[in-house]
Amino acid sequence: MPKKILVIDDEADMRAYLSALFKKAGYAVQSAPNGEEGVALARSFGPDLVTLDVLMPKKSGVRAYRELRTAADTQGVAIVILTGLAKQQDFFGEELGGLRPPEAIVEKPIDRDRFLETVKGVIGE
Amino acid sequence: MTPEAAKFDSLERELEQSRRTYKQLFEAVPSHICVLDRELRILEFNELYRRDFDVRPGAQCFEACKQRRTACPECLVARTFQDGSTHSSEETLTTRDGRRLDLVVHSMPIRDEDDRISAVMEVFTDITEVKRLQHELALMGRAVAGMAHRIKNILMGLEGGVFVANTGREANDEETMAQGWDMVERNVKTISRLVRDLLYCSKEREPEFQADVCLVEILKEVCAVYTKRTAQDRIQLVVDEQDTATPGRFDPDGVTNLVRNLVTNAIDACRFDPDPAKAEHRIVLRCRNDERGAAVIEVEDNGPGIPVDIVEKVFVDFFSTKGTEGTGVGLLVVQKVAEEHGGCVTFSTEEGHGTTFRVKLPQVAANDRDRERQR
Repeated sequence: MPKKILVIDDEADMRAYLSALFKKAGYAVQSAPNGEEGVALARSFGPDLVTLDVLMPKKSGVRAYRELRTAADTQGVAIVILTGLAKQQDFFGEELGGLRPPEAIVEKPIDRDRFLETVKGVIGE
Repeated sequence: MTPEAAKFDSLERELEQSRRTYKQLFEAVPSHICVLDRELRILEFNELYRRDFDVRPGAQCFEACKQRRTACPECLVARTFQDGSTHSSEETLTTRDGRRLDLVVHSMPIRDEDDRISAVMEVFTDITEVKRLQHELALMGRAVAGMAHRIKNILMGLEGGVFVANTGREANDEETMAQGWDMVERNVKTISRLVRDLLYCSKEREPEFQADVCLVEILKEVCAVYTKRTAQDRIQLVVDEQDTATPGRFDPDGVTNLVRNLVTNAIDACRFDPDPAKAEHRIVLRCRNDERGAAVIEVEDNGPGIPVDIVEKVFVDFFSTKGTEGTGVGLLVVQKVAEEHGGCVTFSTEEGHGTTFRVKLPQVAANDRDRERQR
């Protein structure tokens, strides 16, 4: 069984890119365009890892992160934060209010090979 | 006259001449200078000091320069009286006509014949212009960093498109290949728009004013371009056609670009509104004439509004890095086009309730400018 990755990003190009990248690397992939749909999909899809954008419409990455980390069925899922803003990195690095920190924080734009290495390291392959 | 008296007379003249020379130097030097006693009372001051600060007989320096009632906590003059050394610091002072001056202040001892410090001289060097340039340079640095980040994001989109297209080609999957090329095409368009916007901001483009330009038609054209896309995001984009501005002499390309940038900013604002209670967003475009006949274009949205800490930076940190519609330099373009028409940009915002941008385009100024160019 291939490991499962859920891509949550509001930018369609980013979703398409990461989905193709992960599929080519042998993962099963699904994606969602905002935090609201992403959290719902995390419950039904049961991913091993979620890549989570921060600034998104409907439900931001910060809110989605809290929900994923606190819900019983998703709190064990590895989360890789993808962000373009240093301030958001600070938030996920320091201001989590007792929540488990993300497994990795990656700054956009990504370096494809290094990003894939990070994901492989987190997911355990 | 005895030889001694003549010599005394000559020495006195020399002394007077020397005093006049120093007085002229003291007055002419392009710095504010004052001489203070131990009680910080102003004993002497030059012309520039007199012009810019409120000096009254017996005044203390902190009253004259800083409108204070007590001495400054870190008084350079007191330190110089204490240790006999020269001290310096940077200060910002307000002149009697309200100008703010950035100054480097030096305090130096003046000694009597017994080598005791009888007074301290303060010399203020005006570095306001240097500070302004420093500030502009810092802003430019931030703008370049923002632009680099934006371009990197577009490059990542291009790289992603090529990757997806190649993945589709290798797997003989036409759908994936087409998806990759769509991504490439979209990002090429984005970078083209970015370059076009940057060119608008540069001095390379001359506006082309035309007579009888109907602003409401421009609003409707821009609205038509985005209506379909905004409908997908439950954003209602409408033109208010009541009391529209009379046709006038404007640069239609510039105004179209201006409106497009305001609209894309509003769309991005609505799209990223974190308020789940707003079932639908609304962007209203309107143009009217103000009481002086100037055209005013308004773009009003009911998005999240601009946070208080960002309000002051709206026209400074113009380079946004998030958003799917704007190029990131939108407000710079808006400002540029408004200035070309002799107009200005203002906005009002309420956090949680929305933002309205207003662009005033006074036709008379534009016409004058146009005639100037034609000459």
